[in-house]
This record gives sequence, C-alpha cells and structure tokens, in this order.
Amino acid sequence: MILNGIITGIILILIGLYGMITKRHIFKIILGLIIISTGIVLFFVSLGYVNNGIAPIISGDNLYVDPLPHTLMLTTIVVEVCITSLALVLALKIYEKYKTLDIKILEDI
Amino acid sequence: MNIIFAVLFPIIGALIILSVKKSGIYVSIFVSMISFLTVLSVYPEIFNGEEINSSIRMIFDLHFFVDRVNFVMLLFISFLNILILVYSIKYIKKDNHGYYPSLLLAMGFTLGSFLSGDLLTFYIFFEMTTLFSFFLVMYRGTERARRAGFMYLIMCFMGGALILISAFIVYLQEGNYDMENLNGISSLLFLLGCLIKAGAFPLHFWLPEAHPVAPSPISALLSGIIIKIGLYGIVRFFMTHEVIHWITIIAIFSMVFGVILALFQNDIKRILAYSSISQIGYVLLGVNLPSMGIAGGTFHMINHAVFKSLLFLCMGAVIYSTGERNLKKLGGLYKKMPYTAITCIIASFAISGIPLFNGFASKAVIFDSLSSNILKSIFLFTGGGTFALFYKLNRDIFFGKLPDKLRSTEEAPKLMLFPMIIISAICVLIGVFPSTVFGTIYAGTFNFWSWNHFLEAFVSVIMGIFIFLYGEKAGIFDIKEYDTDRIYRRFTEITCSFCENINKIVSTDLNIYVLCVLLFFIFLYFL
Amino acid sequence: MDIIFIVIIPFFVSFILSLMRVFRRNIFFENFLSITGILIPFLVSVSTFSAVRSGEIITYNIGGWSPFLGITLKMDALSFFFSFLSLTLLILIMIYSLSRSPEYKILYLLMTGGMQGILLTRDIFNMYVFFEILSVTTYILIVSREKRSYKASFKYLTLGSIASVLFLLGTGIVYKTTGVLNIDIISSMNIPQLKITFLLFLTSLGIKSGIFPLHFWIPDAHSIAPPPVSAFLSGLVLKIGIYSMLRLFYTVFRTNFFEMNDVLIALGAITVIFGSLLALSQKNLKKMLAYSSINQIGIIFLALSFGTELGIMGGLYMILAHAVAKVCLFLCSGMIGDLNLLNLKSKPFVSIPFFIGAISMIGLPFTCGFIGKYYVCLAAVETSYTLYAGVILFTSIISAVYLLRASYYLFRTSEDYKIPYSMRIPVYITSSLCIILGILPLMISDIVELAAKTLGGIV
Repeated sequence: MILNGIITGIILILIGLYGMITKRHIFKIILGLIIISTGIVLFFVSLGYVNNGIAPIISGDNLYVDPLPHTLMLTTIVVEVCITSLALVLALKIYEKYKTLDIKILEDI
Repeated sequence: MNIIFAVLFPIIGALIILSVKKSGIYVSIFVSMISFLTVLSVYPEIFNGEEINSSIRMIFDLHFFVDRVNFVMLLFISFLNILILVYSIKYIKKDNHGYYPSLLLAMGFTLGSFLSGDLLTFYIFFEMTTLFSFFLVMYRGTERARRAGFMYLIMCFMGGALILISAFIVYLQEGNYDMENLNGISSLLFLLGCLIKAGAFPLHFWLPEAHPVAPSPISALLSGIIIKIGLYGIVRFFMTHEVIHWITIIAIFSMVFGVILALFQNDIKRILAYSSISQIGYVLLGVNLPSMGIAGGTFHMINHAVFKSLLFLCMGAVIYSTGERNLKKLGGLYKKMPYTAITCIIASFAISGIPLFNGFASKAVIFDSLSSNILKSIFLFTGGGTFALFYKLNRDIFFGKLPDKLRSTEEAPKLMLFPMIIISAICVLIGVFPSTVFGTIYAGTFNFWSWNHFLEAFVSVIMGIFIFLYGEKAGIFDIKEYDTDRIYRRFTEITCSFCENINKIVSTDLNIYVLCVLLFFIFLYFL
Repeated sequence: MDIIFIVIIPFFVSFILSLMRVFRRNIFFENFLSITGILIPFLVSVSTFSAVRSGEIITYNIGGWSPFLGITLKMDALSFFFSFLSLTLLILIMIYSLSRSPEYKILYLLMTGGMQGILLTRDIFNMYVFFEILSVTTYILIVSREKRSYKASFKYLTLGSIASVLFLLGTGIVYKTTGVLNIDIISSMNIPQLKITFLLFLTSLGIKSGIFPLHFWIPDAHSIAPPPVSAFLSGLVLKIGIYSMLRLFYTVFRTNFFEMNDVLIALGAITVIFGSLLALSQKNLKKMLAYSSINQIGIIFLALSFGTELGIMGGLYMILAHAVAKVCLFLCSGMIGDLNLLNLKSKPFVSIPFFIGAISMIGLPFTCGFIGKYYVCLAAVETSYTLYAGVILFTSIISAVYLLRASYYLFRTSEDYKIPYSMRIPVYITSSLCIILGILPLMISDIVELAAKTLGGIV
C-alpha cells in the first residue's frame, strides 16, 4: 500500500513536471503546478502509512497511521491554495495587459 | 611626526574637497606640502642609519617601512606631487570637481605604496592607486580615453591579482607577509605582477595608450611616479634575492624596443611614453646586477621620475599654447616659447646621459656594474637611440620653420613655467652633485667623474648622431603611427561579441528554465 | 525577551496595519508602526549579542513541547550573524521606502517575519512554511506598475514553487529515514542520508539562491522590481537560501556534502564566470546589478563548499559585504531616472555612494568586499584549489570593468531633482558601512569565527 501511494505520488509529480516543461499556455503551467502539489501530498501521506493501521483518532489500543504527515500536509495544502490563487491572479493580469497567454509570444514583447 | 600622516593627509584633503566644492586648489597644495614636510621630518633618523617601522592595526596590519632607499624616493615624489599640483592650476580648466580629489587620492595612495613594508600593504596601496589613476586617465572622456583607461585598469588589476596570489602563497607557507619569504612560484607571480605595472616589454602595450591620453600633469604623474611602484616592488625583491636571468632579457628588449618604436612616432606624448618603456629597461637591467647595480637602478628611477615629469610638463606647455600634438605640425617655437624650450632641452640632455645632468650619473653607475660586453654595447646603442630620439623631438618642436598657424603662440603661463624651471634646476643640481643623492642610497663611494664615463657618454652621442642620420636618410621618421593595440582591440571585440551571444542564447522561456532544473537534478544524480 | 518575539512581532504589526485599512489613512502612524515592527526584533536580537558571543546558544521551545515533538527556535552565532545583518538592512530599506503604499508595508513586514523565522527555526518543515511566507510575499512585492513585472513575477512564482515542492519531497524522505524533523536531533543521530535527498535539497535551495542552471529567474525579477524590493531581494533573500544550505548541509547532510565537494566548487565557479560575463554585456543598470549578484552568490557558494573553517569565514564575510554593497547599489539606482547605461547621469550624492558600493563589490582594499575576497582566496589557496582563487580574482577584474564603467558615467552631473532625505540617509549609511566594516573589525570577526566553528567541528 505504501508503495502504491508513493509510486502514484511520484508519477503525478512527473506528469506535472512534464506539463510545466512542454506546455505553452499559462493555465496549463499552473495546472502542472497543481498536479505536482497533489502528487506531493499523496507521496507524503503514504510515507506515513503504517501497515494495518487505522485513522489516527485515539480509540482504544490499536495501531495508528502516523498523524504527523497528515498535519504537515494540511499546512501544505493551504500554502498551495494560496500560491495557486496568486498564480491565477497574475495570469489574469498578464492577459489584461498583453491580451495573450502564450509564453512564447509573451517573451518577444 | 608619524610617517603615516604623509599618506593620510592627501586622503583627508580629498574628502575635504569633496565636501567643500570651491576649495580644490588651495586644499590640495596645502595638503601636499604637509605631506612633503612629513617626509622631510624623518630625515634625521634616516641620516643616522635607522629604519622606521610602523604599523596600523586594522583588520589587517598595514606595515610601513622607511630606510635609506625609500626615503630618497619619497622625498622626490612628494616634492614632484606639489609641483604637479601647481602646474595643474593653470592646465586644468576649473569646471570639473572630480580632478583634485582623484589626484589627491592617487598621490596619497602612491606615497603609501612606497612606504609599504610587506606584501599585503604593497598590494593594498597598489590597487587603490590603480583605481584613482584610472579615473584620472579617463579625465578627457573621449572614446580613446575610455578605451585606454579600461586597458590600463585591466592590466594593472591583473598585475595586482598576481601579487595578491603570491602574497597568499607566502602567508600560507610562512605565516607572515614579508617580502623575504618569496620563493619559487610566488616570486615568479610577484615579479610578473610588478612587471605588468611597470610596463616591461611583452606586457607594455597599455602604456603608450594610457599615458598620452591623460592630461599632461597626469601623464607626468603616471610616467614619472606610478610606474615606479612596480619597479619599487622589484627593487625590494632584489634587495633580498639573487639575480634572475630572464629579467635581463626583458630589460634588454624593453630598452631597445622602447627606443626604436619611439623613433617611429609622431605624437609628442606617445614618443615620451615609449621612451619611458626604454628607461624602465635601464632600471630593470640595473637592479638585476648585484649590489651597486641595485643602487644604480634606484638612482635611475629617481632621475627618470624627475626628467620624465619635466618632459611631460614641457610637452603639456606646448600643447597648451599651440593645441597641437603632432610633430609634423610643430616647429620653430624657440622664439615664441623660450623658457619651455630651454627646460625641454635640459630634460633631453638629462635623459640622454650628457655629463653634468642627472641621467649621466645614474647611467654611469649602471654601466659600471655591467659585466658582459654584449650588454655594454646594447646599453650604448640604446643611449644613442635616446639621444637621436630627443634630438629629433627638440628639433621638430623648437627649431626649424614656424608654421603659419602657430604665429600667434605665446609662452605658457607663469604658474606652469615655475614647476618646470624648478625641476630643470633639480636636474642640473643632481647632475653636478650626484653624490648627495647617491650617497644616501648606496653606502659606499663611487667616482662619477672618471674618464670612462665621459667616454661612454661621448660614444653614445656619436652613435645617436649616426642613428639619427640613418633614420633621416631611410625615411623612418615618416612612417605612420605604429598601432600596437590592435591585439587588445581584437580581444575586446571578441569578448564583447561572445558575451552578447551568450546573452542571446540564454533563453527567456519558462519551459527551458524548468527543464534546466530537471536536467541539473538528473545530471548531478548520475555524476 | 524571548527570541520568539523576533519572529512574532512583524506578523503582529502587519496584522495591526492591515486592520488600520478600515480607518482613514494616517501616514505618521503607519510609518511609526512599520519601523517599530522591525526595530523591536532588532533590539531583541541585539540583546542576545553578549550571550551569543560567549558561545551560548539561546533556545526557545514553542509551546513548551520537547524538541523531539515540537518546534524549536535557537539563536546561535550563525543565526545571530544573519539575523542582525538582515534586520539592520531591512530597517534601512524600510526608511527608504516610507513613501510607498500601505499594502507594501504590510507585505514587507510579513516578509521580515518569514525571513526571521527561517533564520531561527530548527525544524525542517517549519523552515518550509517560513520559506513559503517569504516567497509568496516577494512574489507580490515584485509586481509594480510596469507591465513586465507580471511576467517576471510569474516566472519567479513558477520556479519558486518547484523549489518548494522539491524541498517538501526532501523533507518527506528525511522524515521517513529518521522519524524526526528537528535538525539538531537528526545531526546527532548521524544517519547518512540518501544522495537523492541531498540533491533534492540542493536543487531546491539552489533555485532560491541562484546557482548556475537554476538562476534564470533572477535577472528578470531583480531588475524589473521596484528599487527597494530589488535591494532586499538581491541582498537578503538570496542569502536566506545560502543560510539554509549552511544549516542543512553541514549538519544533516554532512557525508553527502563532503563527498560532492569538488562538484559543488566547480558549480560555484561556473556560476561566477557566467554571472560576470553576462553582466558585462548588459545595457540596463539594474539587470547588470542582478547578474553581478549571481556572480557574488557564486563566489559565496564556492567559499562555503570548501568545507574548511577559512572557507566558511570567507563565505560569511562575503555575504556581509555583498548584502551591504548590493543594498547600497540598488538603493542608489532607485534614485536615478534613466537606467540605460549610456545615458546615466546623476548628482554627486548618488554617484559617490554608488562608487563606494561598486568598489566594495569589486573587492578593492579598505572596503568589506576586500576582506571577503581575501578570506575566500586564502581558503582557496590553502586547500590547494589555487585555480579557483585565480578565477575569483579574474572575475573581480571583469566586475571592475562593468561597475566602474557605470560609476564613471554616473559622475556626469544631471538636472536638479529633489530626492527626499528619507531616501538619501539609508544610502549614506550603507555606503559608509561598506568602508567602516573594511577598516575596523567591530566585533564582527568574533561572531564570524564563532559561527564558523559552531557549524559542528569542521574538518
């Protein structure tokens, strides 16, 4: 289970990186960022998985999944939301000023 | 009074001028006189044979050191500083505020480098001198001045970098920065650094660009004083080290090439710049010989400072009055500018080694220290070349036909003539009483007035007459200006186009940036 | 006062400032609050000076949790050095930018808090959070009226987010291998880390500080931003990346770091050459200064990768010199109208501080730049990497050419324009600091040596 989570996380990160390297549209680059952050959240959480553990809410004498990655990831998700919103505002402003969202055309201006 | 004040006062003076705008001239002359008096005040101790060592504790320790050799140079240099400042009063137009502060800072740091007692202090003052003289070289602001200034800056900073690396090697081996501890590769680096600054043969090409382009008092400062910093480092080196043979070869090439290339030039200041290279060859030849040679080289350094400054000041007077720098367009100025002509002739006699002038004395000492006959004949040949060169210079400027455009030239202003007359008097005085100066440097006696020396001066003059007649006949003097900075210009062109191409290649594309991150990561993982 | 106030007070003051938006704008109160928001942390950090100087490390556990479970803030010599330096320069830049909008001041204070948080914290994830605060506020601060600033900010945002992602990945792997996130505990556990973890952190912090293939966002972001923003970006934010590298590499990743020593030194050298050659061909003054920053960061990285005590001392002095000089240069460039190199003109009160900052960047004697260059070259010659000493000196000659060219053009006088004193004073103070720090030791050498030693007994 851990391995599935980790591999999926890494695959998501690679997909996101691929998007950032090859796509020209600003929204697609931002989407790449979002996919990367989702991937990393998944990766991190599955790092903290303990075999046969249950959700980390204390209820008797069980094996718990490690709760620390969960808390760290909550913070991470908040940060990523903030960055995504900032990126979208910047994209909006770029569109307003330049009337295009293609980064190759933007560079020649 | 502590000798450090000789360095501090010009710096403080510069700061004062920067704050109070109008006071440039007065503050600078006042401060340079104080600096001269400070140097003079240590005379009693030096006369008794003591040496002065002092240091300032900053983050690094600056060590200052005065002994007999040092003292004479400092005395002359601080005196020449005052005269250059007096000359600048008339020569430099009043509407520039940067001249006097930069000049004072350059002078202060120059005195500091002659006072330096170890490698790090030498390096520190060396770099600061280069910085401020760079601004002075670029004073005119023309395209050519800027190019010359940057060439000067780059070459002298490279020299400084070599000296710094050699200082580090010494420090890591011995734990201090004394010059005695230079050996092996560190001594090689140190000598290279000093030779670049001095303008010795293969790396001299910045000199004929930088010295002519500066205003005349600055040319006097550069050629007369700042070049000597590199030579001073070499003198100190040879005071504690053995003879090195390839320096003799460099010296010979400098001497011969300097004179020959000077014969081809038509711009009066370029001629003087090339002849500086030649005289530096004399000094290098001298210091590379044991004991008396070092003293001879030092004495020649001092004399060269004196007569070369005088020559540049004379040429400055000619340029000021006529506006012309080209030999072909000058002539017959003897009647119009008699004082300038006389001082120039005195300086030319001095540089050619005519007896009763100071050049004769120092050349006599170096000639006596030479051992092989080849070196002696090259020495006489160069002396002849110098005589021919300056005969041609004086003939073309002061004698001959006066061109029509110059009918209304007047003599240079008195404030400019006054320093020139004083320096020419010094030339004659040292020439007639050379033992006063030489006796301070060299702890021994030397007979300046023996027949050998008169003979060799005579032989030089004869060779000079022959070179001159041959040159006239072969028409060498009419060849166009020899352009030595082609290589440098090509090099800067290549560098600039290289940088601009890199600028174009560096993509501004976001995709490439992320790709670079990924490639970086992968590359380092498999390394 | 506890050192937590260094981190908390800027956040708190910025919160108050943002609440004040409800009322009518009162400029005096705004300025007063923003300066005290940085002044109080400065005073707190100064009060820890005597303790730090004698080698003591001041600890504060947030919430009283033990270091194993919670977040710890510690002030040791290295943190003190960076914290003091950054707070001084931040106050000066704040004085310079007193005439800007209140949003600017709010973001500025948030950024200060984030910066101080990175410098004091000893928890890797907490470092990530504060890095994010710092980065997001700088993404916004770069934006100005100019059109191109949106593009520059977007590029910075993209690369900065990749840096954060890589940082998190590295943190995850470290957590998996060791089970704790506290730097001191990890370094005392002495578990060798995987190479990939080290590379993740190197890439991430390399993007933040500007090592060669990862520096591409710097020229655009630093040149198009408003002048005080460029000043603290170039002068301080890049150094925070270097600080994190120091903090992590010498403790957690010791073995990896010392294995890859040569590669990192070569990387630093490439950065130096690249930065200086590109700076030579720039026509815009601020872009030239941005490339010059890349140049200096290369030298700092080079110095810190030597792994010897002299190398770290050289790196720290270079950081000090570059921060002060670069802030001075960028603040001066803010007072110049036309930034095209061939049309530069300005008055003496700008050109002389620019000249002093320029000679400090080149590394001429009697300025603090020389001391940095001195220790770095000494470290290079000592570890027998003499070639790199030659590279550094040669590129400082190239820096001399482009910086002195700009400063020579600046000496031409120009039309009269009025610059308020609030803008002139920080420039005067930073330029005089350049020279004063080059002449008098002023106890900085003690701190630097202590910092070099406390990086855990270096070989």
